[in-house]
Amino acid sequence: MTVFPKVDIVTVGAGWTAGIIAQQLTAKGHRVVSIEAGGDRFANPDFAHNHDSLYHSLRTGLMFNLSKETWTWRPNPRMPSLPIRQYGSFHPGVGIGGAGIHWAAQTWRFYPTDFRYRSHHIERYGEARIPEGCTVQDWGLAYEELEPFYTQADYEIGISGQTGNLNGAILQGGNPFEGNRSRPYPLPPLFRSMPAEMFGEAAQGLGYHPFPQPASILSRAYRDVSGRERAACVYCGFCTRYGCEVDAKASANVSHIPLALDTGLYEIRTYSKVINVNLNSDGLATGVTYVDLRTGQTHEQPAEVVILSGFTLTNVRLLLLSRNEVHPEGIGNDQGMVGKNYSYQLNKTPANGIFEGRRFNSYMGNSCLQNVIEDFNADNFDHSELDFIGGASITCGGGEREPIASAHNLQASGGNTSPAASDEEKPVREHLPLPSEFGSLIGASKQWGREWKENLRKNWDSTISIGIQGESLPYEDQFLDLDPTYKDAMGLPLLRVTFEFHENDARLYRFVAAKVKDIMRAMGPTHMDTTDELAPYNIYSYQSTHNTGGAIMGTSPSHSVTNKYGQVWDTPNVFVTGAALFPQNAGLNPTGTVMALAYFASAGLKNTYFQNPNEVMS
Amino acid sequence: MLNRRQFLHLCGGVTTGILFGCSSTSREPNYTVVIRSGNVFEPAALTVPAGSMVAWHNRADQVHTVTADPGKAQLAERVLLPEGAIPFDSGNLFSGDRWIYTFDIPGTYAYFCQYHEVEEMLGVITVTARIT
Repeated sequence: MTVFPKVDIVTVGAGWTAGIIAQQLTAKGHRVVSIEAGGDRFANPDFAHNHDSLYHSLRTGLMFNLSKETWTWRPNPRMPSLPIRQYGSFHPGVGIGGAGIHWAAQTWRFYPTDFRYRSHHIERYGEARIPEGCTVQDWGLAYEELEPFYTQADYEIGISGQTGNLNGAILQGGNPFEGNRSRPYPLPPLFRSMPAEMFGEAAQGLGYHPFPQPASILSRAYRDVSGRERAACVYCGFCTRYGCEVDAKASANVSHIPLALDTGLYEIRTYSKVINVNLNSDGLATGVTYVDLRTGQTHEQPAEVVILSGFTLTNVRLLLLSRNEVHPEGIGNDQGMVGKNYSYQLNKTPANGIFEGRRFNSYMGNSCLQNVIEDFNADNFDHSELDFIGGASITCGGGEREPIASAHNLQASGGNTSPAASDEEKPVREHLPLPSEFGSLIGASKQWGREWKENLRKNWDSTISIGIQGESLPYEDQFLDLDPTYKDAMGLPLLRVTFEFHENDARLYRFVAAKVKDIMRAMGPTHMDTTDELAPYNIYSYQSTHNTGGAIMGTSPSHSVTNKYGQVWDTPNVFVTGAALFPQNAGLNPTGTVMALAYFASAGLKNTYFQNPNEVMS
Repeated sequence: MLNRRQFLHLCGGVTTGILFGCSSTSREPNYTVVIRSGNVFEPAALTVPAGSMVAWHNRADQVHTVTADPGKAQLAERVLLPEGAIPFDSGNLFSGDRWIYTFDIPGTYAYFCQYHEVEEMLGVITVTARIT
């Protein structure tokens, strides 16, 4: 074992949040080391001409190697768990830049009401409207406090979008529900696809407020925090699950990490996997122990501060694995809060339309070419007469339908097929799409043979889907813990995910799916396929990598693992970053908030923490 | 849109906006918005009491405008003016130019640069009731 010289900060992983913190803290003279389980890769030369659908989309080449470490899942505490052996529900990344390399780059600010979810809903609707067993909380951090850091991320990274609320002035064409912005987006929105425009017209006709998807993808050339001018998006269509070949899609690799490396104070050790956060008899962290995956040797990196900046599930697992006599149940877990408030999302496609004879060129661009309505997300609409709380984004018009990857993945047939028929006349799909239904758009039930090929040839580029991204609330029977049975390649327990949708989710879905159906009808498809009811959660179909919670922030150790800086209450020289901090999940992509929180934590570390080390910041 | 010469001519007239140096006013502006390179009004959002004079100072290399006139906007609905307020337009502000406007009517003014409207070069002035 090598014990390296002590540094100020050691981070687990070298993704978005580690990159931001490394850049912010090395600029102040702090020495930072990141221990990264994967390899290094940068746009040039690693992502040049990397349009390999088999490697990236179908074989998930940029993700964790599940044969070495995976997660187990069970729908509820009464059921046994089983390991996830193939990628499905979510796609955590590995390597420098983390999932921030292969992400879709949809970038949002959460709503002001999201940050005071419990208080807001009780004030507006009464406590009885919080579902039974639901453990929603306020964040202990107000939107207004985080706003400058959202803005810092907007400008240092280069975010494209159309402003909807500038200091309270509601500007048409943007999101009229968004919280106050102190500055407009630094860049205009990306081009919209034809389906996005059709969706926008239909939604506007129904009285809703469509606007362009905000994105961490440059719509114009832009000089970011690194001082380098990056190229604008070329709409190549190989984006999610790929690295960007022209650096138009933001990542820590593009901006923050090179800047931190240039200081000479930052080092990334690749192919090195942290297996433990080391603790002393005072209950404070002393550094991390990691394994060099190329040699199998174990090393120690001492540090003043340990930052768990891996994926949500990685961070929670390390908290639970790292124990001593002071923290016998793991770091941050003195009051049993680690693993609590695990949440996910409702990422579904309630309606698919076929527009026979039309061609949409949907292979171009990425998902950020879409239009969005937020009229039915969060508490942007009155829930007084409804049987649920929460809501969902409704989106349409994303591109990147790669020919190879999408041929096997066309939406299933079945369900409601005619836009003209009334709801009562239509059959509702009563089961999840069967594999034999994939690729069959108009009633065909197989994905081989002449009929299927004809269908694919005729309709592959004539389909439009409307998707939703719905809130997911935390519940007492929905949590993360260490699996008692299954272990990783090193013999350490896997993390167990206990998760299933609840009744509030089913009601929310039913309501939003009906709205989606109305919009699709207004778009005038020749055939329409809708899914009116929420199917049970499954781990085999991709939904989103928006796993949240497990190390949540709050105002007291009895209800949270960390304070608003991500500083662990019971081990104050350990910090957690990322979506593990979210007390519940919003109906929006999390990374915009993850980045803002990383800037916020950086400010806390450099302005307060290092003046009084090991003290809990207020 | 007015060119620089036309605007210089106009600023001696009825408009309440003045290009620095062409007015006989002796008052100094109460607030300044700096126009920076990168197509940015800084601050983008400013709250002032009615009667305030706000100056825009172009410290960027490019020419910009300060425009709150729906008739000159590509997205007219994104311009906001309080009821009774007259649309305004600075005309071309070259590097180093300063332009002053007096806000008498309370409400929200959302303005833009005519050359960079679609680049999200936006600003908002919120005018509160006059301090007595």
